[in-house]
This record gives sequence, structure tokens and C-alpha cells, in this order.
Amino acid sequence: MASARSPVKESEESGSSERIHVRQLEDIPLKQIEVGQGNVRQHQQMAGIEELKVSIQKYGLIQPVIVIQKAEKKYELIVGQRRYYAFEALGKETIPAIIINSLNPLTQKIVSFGENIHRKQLPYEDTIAVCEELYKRYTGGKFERIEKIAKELGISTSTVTKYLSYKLVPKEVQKMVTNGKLSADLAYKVTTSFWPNEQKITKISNYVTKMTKPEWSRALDVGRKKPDASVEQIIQEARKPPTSHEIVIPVDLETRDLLNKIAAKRKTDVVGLLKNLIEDLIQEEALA
Amino acid sequence: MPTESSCPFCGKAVEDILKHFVLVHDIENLEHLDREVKKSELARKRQAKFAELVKELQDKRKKNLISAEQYRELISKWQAQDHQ
Repeated sequence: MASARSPVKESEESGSSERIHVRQLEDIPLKQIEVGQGNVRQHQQMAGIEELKVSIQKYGLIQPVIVIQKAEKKYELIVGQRRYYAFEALGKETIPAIIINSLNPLTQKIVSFGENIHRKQLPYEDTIAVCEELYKRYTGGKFERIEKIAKELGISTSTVTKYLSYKLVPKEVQKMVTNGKLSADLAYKVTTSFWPNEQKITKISNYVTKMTKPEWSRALDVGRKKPDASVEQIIQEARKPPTSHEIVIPVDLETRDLLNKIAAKRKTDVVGLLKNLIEDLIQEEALA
Repeated sequence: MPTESSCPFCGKAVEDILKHFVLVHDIENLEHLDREVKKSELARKRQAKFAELVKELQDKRKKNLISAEQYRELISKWQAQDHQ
């Protein structure tokens, strides 16, 4: 059956039949660009902006932003919000931009989404490989080389060190990270918590993929406190709901000293003293 | 949450054992780590065996069962042997 829809209507609904034509690439003043609703990046626009600034300062802008001309000297930003803010923060006046033909709002969203979704963060294996390559190439002491890598990649020295240490995560666990079953960070935490028992590390890694965050956090804690516990015991304890709740109250040094004095007088420690006070208070309330 | 592990090379209790291996002991990969751990275990065993021998020979010396010369000879002989 032939479609009775007009081409415009079809393009608005599917967003696929509208074609993008690159009109030109030029440096556009930041003042003439406004961030449009068509840009899908609505959250965490400023995330990683510092690293982006370092990269831009060092190498310039590798990928221009994409804009639509709305009127004379007026553009709407479709793709490249973070790059735009980084340029603004660096005090630059213009930004390299690709000007495309005007698109309907739905197509604008799709273009922006496509650009953002395809520009995923570099997989961790690739980031590790880059760090290792640079570590081998650079000369100087260990810390000097790590500092150079951090500066080059715009990440912290502790992140570089962590990336360099990832290669010591057991191969089975590394495979789980590559297959997306386990996050690289959790794989690292499990390894450091149960090292050197490789079998335990692999088994626990398999379990934590099916656990909630509080559960795996408890599993790591049990592993740390009871190094001789079996995997089954660790999992069993991790799955039990917590039996106590920790309350942290920040106090000034004077209060701390006074509490210590009172506790010593009553032949207990501060925790015991406060526990007794809380119990007395609860009892008092119950009787009231 | 900090997790303390004991380093098999220097015996230090460290929070992040993997980082410690890379930064302090220049461990390059898992195979390297495995080799170094085995090496350090062998060294520890050899050291324990030697300590045992020294104690045994010292006891014999005290009881005058061996002379100082024999003591030195037995120590040198043990050291010359491959105890790996």
C-alpha cells in the first residue's frame, strides 16, 4: 500500500530519511553559539572537562563541534557540548565547527545521540595498553614516568598506577572484565582483597557479578577480616543483612579529649561510653 | 576500604598489593610475578634449612661432638651445594 504521508512528516517520525549535508567548516565565535535542546548530553556536561581542557591545550581540538545555522551570526550547537564548555573555560573566543543543514528536532536528537553513543569511553584494555606503552617508552625513574603519562593523558598519577597494576589481575578475571561481566575496578578490588589466592579471586569474582553493591562490599570485608574463610563462608556472610549500623559523629578535638577523660573515669572507652548513653536514652524514652 | 596484604618479597603490610608490586618491585606482568614469588619461596626455604643446619652444628659444637674446623667445613660444604 502506498504511503499517504508527506516526506516531512515521515522524516519527523522516523528521523532517518532526513539527510545531513555538511555545508562548511569554520571557526565560529563562541558568543554566536547557543547550546540547543537537540543536544542529548543533558547530564554531567562538566564531567571530565579538566582532562578535556588539558588535551585541547596540548593538541588543539581534534574533532570540531557540529552546529546548525539558525540566523545570521547565530548557531545552535548539536554535538560537542563538553568541547564547547572546555573552550569557554579556556577563555577561547572561537571554536572549529562543522555547519550542517537545518534538521527537524527529532533528527537533531538522533544525530546528537549517535555521536555521543559512538564516542564511548576508551575500553579499559586499550587505556591500559596505552599506559604500558608510554611507561616503556619514557625514560627516567618510575614516578617520573608515571607523572609524564598522567600529564600526557590528562589523568591522575594514581589512575596511571592503577592502570599499570591491572595487568596483575588474574587472567580469568581479566577475561570477565573484557566480556563485560565485571567492572575493571571491582576486578581490581577483588584481586587486592584476596591476593595471593588466585582460585579464591576467580571464584569470588564470579559470585560478585550476581551480587548487590552492599553484598560484594561485605564479601570483600569478610575476606579481609577472615583470610582463612572459605569462598562459601564468605558468600554466606556477605548475603546476610548487616546486624549493626555504624554511626559516625564528627567532633572537635576538645570534645574528643573530654570524652576520652570521661570514658577513662568510667573505666571504658569512648565507644562503650556512647553506647551506654544511647541505651540509657532509649530506655528513658520507652519509660516516658 | 583498605585491605592489607603482606608482600611476599619485602614482608611489608600494604594496602594495595598490586600497586606495591609494580612500584616497589618492578613486576612487569603475571608471569614475572609468578616467577618472582617462586624464587622468593625457594630462597625462604633455603634460608630456613640453613638456619636449621647452623643450629644443629652449634649444638654439636657445644657438646664437643665436632671441632671448629669440622664446623666450618660442614657449613662451607652445605653452602657449596645446590639446595634449590
